[in-house]
Parts: sequence; C-alpha cells; structure tokens
Amino acid sequence: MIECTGLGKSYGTTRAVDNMSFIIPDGLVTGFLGPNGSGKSTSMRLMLGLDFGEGTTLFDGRKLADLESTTKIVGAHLDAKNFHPTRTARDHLRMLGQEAQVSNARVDEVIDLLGLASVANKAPGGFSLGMGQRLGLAGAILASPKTLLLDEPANGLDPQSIHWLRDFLRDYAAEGNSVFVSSHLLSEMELLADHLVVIAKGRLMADESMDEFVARSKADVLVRTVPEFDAMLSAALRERGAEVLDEDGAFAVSGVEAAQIGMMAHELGAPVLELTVRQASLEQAFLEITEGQQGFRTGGSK
Amino acid sequence: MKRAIAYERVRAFTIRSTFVFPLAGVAFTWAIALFLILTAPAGSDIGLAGLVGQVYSPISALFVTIPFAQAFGHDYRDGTIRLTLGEFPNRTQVYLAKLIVPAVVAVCAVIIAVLGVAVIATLGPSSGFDALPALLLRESLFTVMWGVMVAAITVLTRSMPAGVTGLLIWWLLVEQLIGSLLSKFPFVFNLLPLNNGVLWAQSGAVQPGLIMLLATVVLGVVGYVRFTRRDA
Repeated sequence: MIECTGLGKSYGTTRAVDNMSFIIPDGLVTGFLGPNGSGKSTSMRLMLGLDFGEGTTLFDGRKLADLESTTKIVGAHLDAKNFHPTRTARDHLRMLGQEAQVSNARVDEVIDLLGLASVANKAPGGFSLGMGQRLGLAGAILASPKTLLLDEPANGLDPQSIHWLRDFLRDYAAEGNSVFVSSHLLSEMELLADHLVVIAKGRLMADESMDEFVARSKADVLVRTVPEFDAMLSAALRERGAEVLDEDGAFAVSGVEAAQIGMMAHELGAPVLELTVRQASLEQAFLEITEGQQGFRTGGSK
Repeated sequence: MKRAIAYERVRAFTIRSTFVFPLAGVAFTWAIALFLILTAPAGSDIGLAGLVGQVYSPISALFVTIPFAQAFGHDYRDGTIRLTLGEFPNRTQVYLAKLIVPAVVAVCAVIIAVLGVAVIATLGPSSGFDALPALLLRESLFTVMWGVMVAAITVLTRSMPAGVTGLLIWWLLVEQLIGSLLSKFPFVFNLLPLNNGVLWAQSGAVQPGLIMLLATVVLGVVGYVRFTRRDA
C-alpha cells in the first residue's frame, strides 16, 4: 500500500501540486487521471523522492529512503526514453538490476516476458516509442517489486501490446501488489483500473472506486424531434418529472426511460428523429469533474 | 554503498567511450613522449620526472577524466538520473559512487600512461627512473582531483561538454591571463589552482598541491550540495 500525505510542489508562483493526500491500495490497479499539466508526473516524481517538495509518501508504512532495497518495493517507469542510446537493452537492465542484485537469468526472463529478445543486444537509441515503453516496463518489474508506478505506459503501444499490458497489470495487482498507472487514454483506463485518483490543476478531485466515480456522471437520453414539437414534448416530459436540457437542436432528458419518451412522443404525434440512450461513462464523469480545469478552451476551433 | 558502486560500475563499463577516451589520453601521452625522446639532442639527459611533467599535461588529463563528466552528464542528458535516484534515494552514495568508479578508471589510465612513458624514456638519453613511484602517485592524484572538478562542473551546469572543457579553458585562458596581467603581484599565483596543480604534479612541492586540493574540495562540495538538493 502506498500512502501519500500532503504532497505539494510549487514552481515559482505556480502551484503544481497542492496538498494532495491519497492511498493506493494493494491488490488493485489504481488509475491516475488528470488533464494535461494537472500535476500527474510531478506527483509521481514527488512520491519517488526525485523532486523536492512537501508531504510524505510511505510504501508499506516506510519512507523510500528507509527501505533496504528500493527496487524490491517500488518499480517505476516514468519515461519511455530514459536510457543511454548506445547501451544495449540487456546491459541497461543489468545495470538496473544491481540495486536488488538481480541475476542475469532474471534479466533474460524479463526480456522474454516483454518481447525484447530480438533487440536485447541492440542499442535502444533507434527503438520506437513502443519498444522504449517495453524496456522501461522491463526495468520497473525487474526486481518483482511490491508496487508499480507507471506514467503513461500505454503510450505508443500497438493494440495487442495494450491488451497484453492490461492483462499483465491486472494479474500483477491480483497477486496482492499495488499498481498505480497514469494515463490519458480513458477508454483504456476504464478497462484497466479498479480505483481512481483524479486530479486537476494540482488538486485532488476524486479518490474512489471506478464504479463510484462513473456513477457521478448521469445517464440520459438524447431526443431529437422536428422543431415544431420541441416545446410540446419537453413540456410533457417536465410534467412527468424529467429533467430536460437543451443540447444543440435536441434535448437531453434524464429521469425518464427511453421507452416512455418514445411513447409520449407517439401520443403527441411528434416524429422522433433520434432517441439515443447515453450511459454513464468514465469519460463523461472525467469531463464533468475536470470541466474548466484544463489549460485550454473546449467547444470548437474558433 | 556497494550496490551503488556496482550500479555505477555497470553503467560506466557498458559504454565504450568510458574506455576510448582514457585510452586516447594514454595514446596522446605516449605520442608526445616518443616525439620528445626521438627529437632530443644527442648527449642531453631528459630526466623521467621532467619528461612525464611535459607529456602528461592537462591535455591528457582532459581525456582521462571524461568518464567523470559522463558519470553525471549521461544521466542528466538521457534522463537516466531518474532511474538512478529512484533506485538509490541516498544521493550521497550516488555522488560518491559516481566519483569512485571514474577515479579507478582514471588511475588505471594514468598508471598505463606513465609506465609507458618510462618505457619510451629508455629509448633515449634519460635518467631518474627511481622517481617513478612518486610520479605515479602524484599524476594519479592530480588526475583524480582534476576529475572531481570536472564532475562538479558537470553537475553544476548539467552539461557534459561544459564539464569536460570548462576546466581546460579556465587553465589555458583564465589562469594564464590572470597570471600574466597580475604578474607584479606574486601572491595572485596562489589563487590559481590549476597552475599550482600542474606545478605540484611536476615538482612535488607541497604548497601548490594543497592549493589544488583546496580548490578540488571546494568545487566538489559545491557540486555535492547542488546534486543532493536539486530536482531530478
């Protein structure tokens, strides 16, 4: 279990991470979500003691500096390009294995596991982003750590590799380890994570299970009819207790089933051009909770 | 500490340039020595101490100490400093390991270079071979001190080229300029650590050696403080 308390970091007058506290439980994959520039990478560096700031991070109740062997407790992969361009992949892993005195046999095992056998003796300077990710991940799991901290590990991976990564991380967590993964691929995160830590502008927005987080977003029905019937149908829906919101020539209805809406439209003689049930989703919940928290404008190109 | 040294050893020894540059320094030293011996006037006696002092110049030290700059510069350039410090949160251990491993490489290179010069010296009119052990010790210490300063400059600038060339530029330009402009004030010479270091390596005089040692300690400590208190 990882316990972060009061993590904070400022760059000049900019508060990059602001008093964040959360727990990453064992046995689960915890997703770390936030818009670009929200402080995810800074938080991870603070957790690993790479950056100086406020707060403490305890790994199974102990600070990183107090651990006998850090790599048996924490394996981190923060960047797909963190390697010397001419040191072979095998030598890179041999180097990383020195802290935990990992055997060469284990290095070879991890090389095979990550599908790096064909490039193990090649210089990684020419590796693709995907191969770099595999090498970084290989370094992180080399000493079979209790905890994995991965920053955008799926970036640059092909669909098969993403599928493999998902299965691997879920199995790794199922063995009682904690896995903390940041990603901006929400669809992937929805399939991968059991628990979520969501941040925006350096502040903690949510620390809860995936189900709880997704439940924040409302399921609704998008209804589009011909304009002459808009007012009549929306009034009828409101009379039934539905919440009706205008949405770009249609209206979003919540509180009433799609079938009921269809029946009401039929009774009113209103032709229905579209009736779409929109499920609650991670993306919807994420967009709602981080609305206005990103550093760019949404809603068009102008 | 042993694991940090093992990590640094594998880091350094799995890059070809860790050996190429010091060997280039050795080859350069031998080439100059060979040239001096072969062009020495007949009947002259080139003492070994004088020969080593002439050929194992800071130019050789520049090549031999490149691994000191690489120890920090590669990590900063490639981002592997995060991997290193992620594995070894005790930055003092990392800093020391990054000085110890290149120091071993440098001392080996100095021993090979100076022994080679001694062999080359036997080809011509030379004497003073009994000074060899003291020469080996002084040139080794001189190189290690030079290397520590190279490492410190690399840490301060996060730039390997600055670390490698900074000291040489300081010695060749700044110290020579100060020395010639302020020649009326002899005490100024005491403030020029590299000139004093070279003098000590060649002559064995104690005071110049201490001046270089002092500069090494000061720069080394400044580098250490920066290394241990900076975001990776």
